[in-house]
Amino acid sequence: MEIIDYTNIRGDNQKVLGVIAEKTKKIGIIAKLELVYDQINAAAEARDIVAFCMLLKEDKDLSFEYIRSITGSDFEDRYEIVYSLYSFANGWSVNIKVKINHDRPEVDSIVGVYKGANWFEREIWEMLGIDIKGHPDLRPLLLVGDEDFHPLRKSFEIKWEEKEYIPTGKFE
Amino acid sequence: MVWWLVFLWALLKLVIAVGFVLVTALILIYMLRKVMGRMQYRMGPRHHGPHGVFQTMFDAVKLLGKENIIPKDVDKWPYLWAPVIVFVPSLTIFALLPFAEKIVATNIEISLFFVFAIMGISTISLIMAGWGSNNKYALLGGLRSAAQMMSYEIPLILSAIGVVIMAGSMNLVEIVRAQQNIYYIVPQAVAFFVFMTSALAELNHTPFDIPEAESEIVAGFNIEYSGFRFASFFLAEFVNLFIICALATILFLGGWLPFTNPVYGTLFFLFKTYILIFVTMWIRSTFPRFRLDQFMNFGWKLLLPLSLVNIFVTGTVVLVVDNIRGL
Amino acid sequence: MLTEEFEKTVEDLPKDYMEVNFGPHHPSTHGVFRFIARVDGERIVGIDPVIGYLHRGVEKMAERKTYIQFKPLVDRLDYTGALLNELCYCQALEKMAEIEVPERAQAIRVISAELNRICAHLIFYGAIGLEAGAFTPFLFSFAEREKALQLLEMLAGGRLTFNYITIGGVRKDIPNGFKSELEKFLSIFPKRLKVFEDLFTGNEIFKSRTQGIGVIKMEDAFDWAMSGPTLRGSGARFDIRKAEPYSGYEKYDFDIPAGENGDVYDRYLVRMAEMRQSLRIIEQAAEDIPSGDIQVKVPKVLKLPEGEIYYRNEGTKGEIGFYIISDGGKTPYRMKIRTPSFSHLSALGFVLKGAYIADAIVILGSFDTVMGSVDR
Repeated sequence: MEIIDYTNIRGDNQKVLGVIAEKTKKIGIIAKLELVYDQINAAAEARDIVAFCMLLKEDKDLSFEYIRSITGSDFEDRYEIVYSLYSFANGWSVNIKVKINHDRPEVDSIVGVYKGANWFEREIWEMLGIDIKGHPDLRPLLLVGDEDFHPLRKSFEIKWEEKEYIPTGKFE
Repeated sequence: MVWWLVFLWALLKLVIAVGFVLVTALILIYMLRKVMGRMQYRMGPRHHGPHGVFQTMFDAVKLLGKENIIPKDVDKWPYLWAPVIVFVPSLTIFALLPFAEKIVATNIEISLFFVFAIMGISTISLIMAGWGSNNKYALLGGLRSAAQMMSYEIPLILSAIGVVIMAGSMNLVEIVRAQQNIYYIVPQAVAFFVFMTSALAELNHTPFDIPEAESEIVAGFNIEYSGFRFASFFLAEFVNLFIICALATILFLGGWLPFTNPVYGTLFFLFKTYILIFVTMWIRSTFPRFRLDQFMNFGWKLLLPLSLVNIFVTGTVVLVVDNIRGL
Repeated sequence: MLTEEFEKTVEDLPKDYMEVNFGPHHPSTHGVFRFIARVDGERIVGIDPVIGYLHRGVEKMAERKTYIQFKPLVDRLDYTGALLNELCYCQALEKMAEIEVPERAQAIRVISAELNRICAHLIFYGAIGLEAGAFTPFLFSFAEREKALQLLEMLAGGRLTFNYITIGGVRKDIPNGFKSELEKFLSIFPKRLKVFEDLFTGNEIFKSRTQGIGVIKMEDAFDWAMSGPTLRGSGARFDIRKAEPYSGYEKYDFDIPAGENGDVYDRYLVRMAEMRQSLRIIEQAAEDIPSGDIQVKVPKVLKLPEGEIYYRNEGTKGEIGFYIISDGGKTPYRMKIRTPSFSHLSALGFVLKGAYIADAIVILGSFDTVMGSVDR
């Protein structure tokens, strides 16, 4: 392999706003773009997310090869998931925000596009209870797995409970 | 009445040998801890006794006093007898090692051959320990050690054959006597290198300590042993270290020569042995360890052909020189 | 000549794989990490990692604490390089609240952060020696680390977790005698580094243990969200300190090492070279530290404007990122912490396919994970 030098790439996020806007319109994805704190924030629909990520990754001009993080949060009337992507070749960063209803929390998995999204999505499922459709391995990641609550929801309060520990095994 | 006295004399010699073995093991453990500690930028034991000389004794006493734990589903006979069997070859070989011209417990005609034959028994004890422990880590460790020791016995023995050809006898005392003109390390340098490397592999020393690889399978076959059974594996390793370095001194470094006086001879012999032991400990604290398949390659593809070539060359040279002298 | 039927029955035979458990108590998994390996002889067929032994619920706790109350918790994420976590957090808040940090504070921040980076890489050096099987380098590197930790104790007041970098600057000024101690350290340490490199870099046994093992190609590294020295070992010369400079890094002159083959040996070389570059940065920063205050006046209870930000830094192991959603109040609405060890560990199953058990431990050591930042 050769070494590729990404040291001096400075991305101008203003320039890429227009490029992404027209490319998404060509495919038919609705995305509102704006520039906040030197990064592009895009708002998209939940059903378009896989196509949007695929476009950003595969397109030769855009080439967003790297997913930085997937954040889930709980507002009063909706859930929001933010996908943060970065392009090494061009130095651009994009945050895609997706809104999901409270009564039917589900979203498609982007594991087919970025393999590194695997554990991020597992954590979102476990902490917020959003069903990730198409994920190959939806199991509890950080918690034990026998709880019936989802910790990061605003309806879950941290309570202090005093429980007595009774060991269950027999000692021979 | 005479047979009674002969029996007692033989028993006394063997008791001295066994006592010497155990004291040597204690001294070697202390030496390892001090030498390795100093090389690692720290001091070894310091508290018990001046410069910590009683540390090993106190450790042995502590291990004796531990609770006797036998895990639940072990295979009783291999598990319980493995720590005993690992000591047997070491003690037997001690009876054959000559320390000076007249100081040897038993002297038989083919003592080198007998020594090598008995050394292989210690492999069996490792396999017994690995199997009997009912633990996957122990099993992995036992199988690895079996593979390793089998591979390295052959170069070990073959490298000693060059010495036998040059000396003309398999008796250890004779071999030392035949080195009066020149120590065999000079004409047999290749054989010395092969012998020492195979010896490190036989002893499970770094860089070949796969069976007890602490960072991977957490002490290998030792994992289910505690208390004095663990101590016996540990002691046996150090006794084997002394035996192999003593053998190397006899075969290559001239044993007790040039002193024929028993006292000076023994002391000089011990001095040479301890130099070799120090070199082993030096290597132990410096190098990382090989992976299993890498040192199988090393043993079969490098050491074995080297030792065979050595035998061939030695035999040819000896034959030619004899014929020239005969002419 | 195998008939079709026979081939089908051969494929249906139950394969007997042994399952070996590298449990949470293990001398070589960095912290409490458990993985169950399905092993065919000595080759690993697949693994099942289990994490969460150190989960403390930091993200949920952030929603009930003010910004300044949360800051000591950030230290404890990646506890080997704690100052770099604090740096990222404080800079994220400063960017959102538009606070200017004075130049003296920026220089002190850079010095302490790079010293901490050296400490963390020394732990890596000792640990990879242990995993390859040599016990001595571990003790050597901890002896050197002791000197760096004494410097940090003089400056910041702690050895492992500091609580030193605060919003708007640093908490305490440089004490008397620090500069002379720093110069002593800078003159001795390169020679010690040379001794460390002599022990391993040319050693045949170490090379045969680490070359060609755990190769990760650059496209796979991007896909699995790897960053830091792990990504640089696979051929991408990228560093956030150069791409998005912060805290005065644009003034200093340093190189970024990268590796060609993507194996364990290259990652080791990258980290050793990074230590030397960190020394260069400290020398340049300590030459003339500008005078001025060390801290800007910040309200006691900081309120951020409404909005969201993703801010990232180059930590010791990779990219540390904070995604902060603020609703204008005293406490953050949602604080998401993105740590490098989390993504690296998720790629472990992919990298370990077909490796020997002995290699698996070395590869895990070369990722240099710390469980505090995986579990948060």
